[in-house]
Amino acid sequence: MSKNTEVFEHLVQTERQRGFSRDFLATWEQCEFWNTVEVGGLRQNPRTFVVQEEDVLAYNKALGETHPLFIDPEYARSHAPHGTVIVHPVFITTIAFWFAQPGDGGSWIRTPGARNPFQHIEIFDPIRVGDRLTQKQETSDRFWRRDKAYITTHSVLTDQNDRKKVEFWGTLILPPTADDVRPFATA
Amino acid sequence: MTQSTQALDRPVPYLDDLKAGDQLDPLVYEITQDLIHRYGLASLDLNPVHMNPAWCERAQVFGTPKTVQHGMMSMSFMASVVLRSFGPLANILVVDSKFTKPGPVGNTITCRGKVRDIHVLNNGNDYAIINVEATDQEGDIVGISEVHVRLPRRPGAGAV
Repeated sequence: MSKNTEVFEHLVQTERQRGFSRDFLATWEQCEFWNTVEVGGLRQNPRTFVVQEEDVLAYNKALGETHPLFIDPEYARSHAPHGTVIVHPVFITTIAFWFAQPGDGGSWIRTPGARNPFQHIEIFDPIRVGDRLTQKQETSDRFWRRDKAYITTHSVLTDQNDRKKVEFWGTLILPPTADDVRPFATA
Repeated sequence: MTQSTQALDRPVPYLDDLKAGDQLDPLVYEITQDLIHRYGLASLDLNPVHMNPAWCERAQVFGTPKTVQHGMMSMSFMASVVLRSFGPLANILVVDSKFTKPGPVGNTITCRGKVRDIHVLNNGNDYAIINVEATDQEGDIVGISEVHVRLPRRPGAGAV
């Protein structure tokens, strides 16, 4: 267990959380930086995100949702249109971070010292438990505004039937270079 | 956390039953470190600015020694205002959010939604736009969202 993550390790509960690279401080040098990232070129991530019931339950419960369609698989089996708990529309956050681990395109979203100014999500078909999602991703923009370095990721999620499910644009303000990130990463 | 009551089988409302200016039930959230930790793990956003209180004391990314809540958690709360009022099956099409003030642990966040406009397309894609505002205990706006939600027309409702 890393000293950087020990304060929350006791709350890890899903297979995905267990298998995820959880220490953002230990891995910062393996991620992309604002000043060197390649902009443009939508690329396919080779991995597939299979939406597991426990992932969705963890997200919905963390938000304090109480409706059984969000948190009760038994109730959902008989009452939900597809027989599974409903996926919160901002669950794409989980998917985005899973597809942006060290070495992946867009891994700058893990940067220590990052700030979140704005986000945009468009849902074409609601994500469901059991979906097998693939992702195309690009860094679509990089700009200065009021002396801050902004960067935007553009992602498209497609399901097992090649149907576009969600498209989203996520923007962060970053320390622009590795030298600028280092003081945060080593604080 | 304060939750609006929601009947289990409350149907998604008809678009025709909404009008601009209608207010949705507000939601109130107490931002605790336990909530931040659980959300961080569920979302896989484990950035130390949210998850590591000792690091925040040293790094002070937002000029505070405290951890801050995730922007995506605020975005989720603002979307949840619509889901609590219209039900989990409400068909949300777009969530667009801006975060205007950091939310340190210990904050109390209130999310309020209001119907901005009604889009009657008469092609099955009719939708409403809900503006949601999140404010802290000082009344300062910490986030704003625009949520587009597709809603059914009342049977027999005419073209507008």
